[in-house]
Formats: sequence, C-alpha cells, structure tokens
Amino acid sequence: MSPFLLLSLLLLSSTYPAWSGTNDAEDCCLSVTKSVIPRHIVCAYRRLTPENGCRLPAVVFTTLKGHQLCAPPDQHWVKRLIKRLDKNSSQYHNCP
Amino acid sequence: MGTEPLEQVTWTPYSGESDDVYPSVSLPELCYKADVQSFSRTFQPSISLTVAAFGLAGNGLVLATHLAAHRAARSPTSAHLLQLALADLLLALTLPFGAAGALQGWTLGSTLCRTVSGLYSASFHAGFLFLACISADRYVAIAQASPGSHRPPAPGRTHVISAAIWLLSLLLALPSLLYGQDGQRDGQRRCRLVFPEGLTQAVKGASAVAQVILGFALPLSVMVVCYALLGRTLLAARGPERRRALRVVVALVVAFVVLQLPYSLALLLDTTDLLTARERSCSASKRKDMALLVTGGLALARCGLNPILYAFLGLRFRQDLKRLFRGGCFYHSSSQRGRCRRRPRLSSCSAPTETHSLSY
Repeated sequence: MSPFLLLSLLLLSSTYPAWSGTNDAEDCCLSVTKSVIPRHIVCAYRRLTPENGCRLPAVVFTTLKGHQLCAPPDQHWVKRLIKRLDKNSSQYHNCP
Repeated sequence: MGTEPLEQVTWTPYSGESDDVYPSVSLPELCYKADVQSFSRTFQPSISLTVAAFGLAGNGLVLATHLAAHRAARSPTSAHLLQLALADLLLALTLPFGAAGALQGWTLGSTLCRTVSGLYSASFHAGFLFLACISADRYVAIAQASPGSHRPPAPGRTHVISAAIWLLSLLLALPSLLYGQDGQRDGQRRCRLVFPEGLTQAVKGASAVAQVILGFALPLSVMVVCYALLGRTLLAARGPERRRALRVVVALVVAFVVLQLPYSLALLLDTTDLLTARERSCSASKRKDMALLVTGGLALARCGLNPILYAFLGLRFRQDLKRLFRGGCFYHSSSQRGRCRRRPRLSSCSAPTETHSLSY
C-alpha cells in the first residue's frame, strides 16, 4: 500500500464518529425505484440529500394517494417529472 | 437476502384519475422512522447529560488530584492515565452540545459544529487508544519488573507516545473537522457529517474499513494480548495483592467488552452494509439505527466510568484524594513518593507497588 493511499485512508477514516449526526435516523429512502413513475399520480416532490441526513440521495414524489415514492435523482425521467411539476404546480395536481 | 425492500407500494390500476391502466409495479417508499426518532430524542440527551456529569466530575477530580499533588507522573501508566482523563474530560465537555442539538436543533452554526464534532471524535479515539496504551504499559511494567530485566522507563518516550496518540486522534477527527456542517431538515438544523459529492462509494467504504481497523481492531487486539499476558503472569504469582491486581484487570476487560464491543460490532455491521451497498428493509434499517443508538450510549458511558475503573480503584489515588479533601496538605516523604525507586527488584517490593501501577 502506498504511503499516500494509507494517509488518505487515515484522513477519511472516521466516517462514523460515535453518536454524532450521521446516525440520527432521519426519514430516508433505502432504495430507489427502477421503474418509471406515471406522471399523473404525483402531485409534489422533494429532494433528500446527505445534507438532510440521508445516505442515499433521492427524489421523493408524493402521490395523490399520499404515498412517498423514492426515485433516483440522476435519471432522465425523474428530471423531466420534476420540471413538469415545477411548471404545473400552481395549475393542477395539487396534493390533497 | 434482504435485498428486496419490504416497504413497497403495489400499483394496481388507478381508479378515476385517468384512463390508463398501469401494470402492477412495486415501488420503494420513504422509510419513516418516527418511533426511532422519538426514542432518540429522549434517550440521547439523557445519556449524554448523565455521562457528561459523571465524566466532568470524575475526570476533573482525577486531574485536580494530580495537579494538587504537584507530582510528576512517575510511570508511563500514570502519565497515560492522566492523558486518558484529559481525553474523557474533553469528550464530556462536548456532550451537552450534542444533547442541546438533539433537543432543539443545532443553533450554533457550522464552525462550532465542526469544532465540537471534531473535538468529540478526537477525544473519543484518543480515549480508546490510551486504553490500549495503558494495557501495554502495564504489561511492560510487569515484564520489566521480573528479575534481571529492569530498565528505568524513559520519560521522553512516554511523551512521544502520548503526542503520537493525540496526533493520530486528530487525523481520525479530520473528517469531522473538515466536513461537519449544520444541514437543515424540516425547519430544524442539525450538526452532521456531510461528505462532498465527489467522494465515491469505494473511498467511503475504504475509509470505513480503516476506521474499523484503526479505531477498533488495533486497540482491541493490543488490549486482549497485553491483558492476557498480564493475567497469566499474575495468575502465576501469589499473595493477596496479586489477587487484587488480577481483580482490577478482570474488571477492566469485562467493562471494556460490555461497554465498547457491542458498539464496535454494530458499527462493523453498518460498515459491511455500506461496503456491499446492501439495501435493508425499513424495519431492519430501524432495528440497526436502534442498535447503533443504544450501543453508542454504552460506549459513551465508558468515558464516565474510566475514572472509577482506572483511577479510583488505585490505592495511591485514594490516598491522594483523602489528602485533597483534608485540606490540600500533601506530604512528599520519600516513602510515599517512590518506594520502588531505590529498590527496583520485583522480589522486594513489587507486590504493593505493582498494584498501584496497575490501578494508578
């Protein structure tokens, strides 16, 4: 192992200091959907990032029935769905 | 195994909303952890504040007694015990911040978040490393006390080791010092570690492995080996003082195993999840959070208990303490100061003195 690698491992090694913020059990997505979510069942979205205490970054879509679905933020269909929601949020598909 | 998330919504044809008919697909849902959060909101502050109170009082007393005695730490063990008390005192100082943060969110900004969590991380690691170091000191003390192999311990080396441990602990705390951040969530700010996006999973995984090795496996194996060798030596010896010393060793090892091991194992499990990118079900993830929370509290309790286990069990410390409360009158008679100095052979004076050096 090269000294540089060893040093960088060392520098990064305390990923989880006991009891500090990383384990504060926030509501998070544990996995993201692989199939496309139909656009007319969603009424809102929000992003969950490591900054919000979530290990897996995700976009959470709220459906009209009140479910919170997890989607991968880097997928094209997700970005399109977000854009659509941003555009139309005032006109229709408001969450009940 | 366990790769299929349990919490799923099955989309049956949608009623009323549109003409389309979707195939039945199962989609992963957000995992709600309200029950874990409400438990954490009471458990974490109460444990933190209790440990902080014990830790400040106990370790403060250890340091005060030492300072009032005007005595330079004589053996490597007592020097490292002082460092241990210092590390635990620093750790205890950070705990009220964490408790306040858990109760009402982090209101002190990112700089203080980095400082407090860095100090927390550094002192936590330092405490663990000093425990291992003390076990090695004790073994070396016993081994060197055997006839024919006595060498006076070099005081310079003790300082070098202490400095190296603090340096290593600071390195281990660097992520907290660099990436601590008060992130917002649902209107509340929390002080947490946020790695920059560029860091890949592999780097995070490798760093987690290094954490387990440096922060757990290394100190643990040093302790196990040293106390096992020490125990064997003590078992071979005779006399009530030896039995006392052995009792102290057993108490230390049992306390360590009960308090530290569960947390380290929970952390190991969590690290394995991270490395294998394993997806747990929501209920399994909540169980894991609970395990980390409870065992983390136990591991923290170690810092409040160290003064009792390492200092208060020692005869010399109790004598100093008595004098401290009697009005700070310390005698520095040569008989109390260094009984063993003029008689370095184990055979003549080791039994009581070794008990002292074993337990301060």
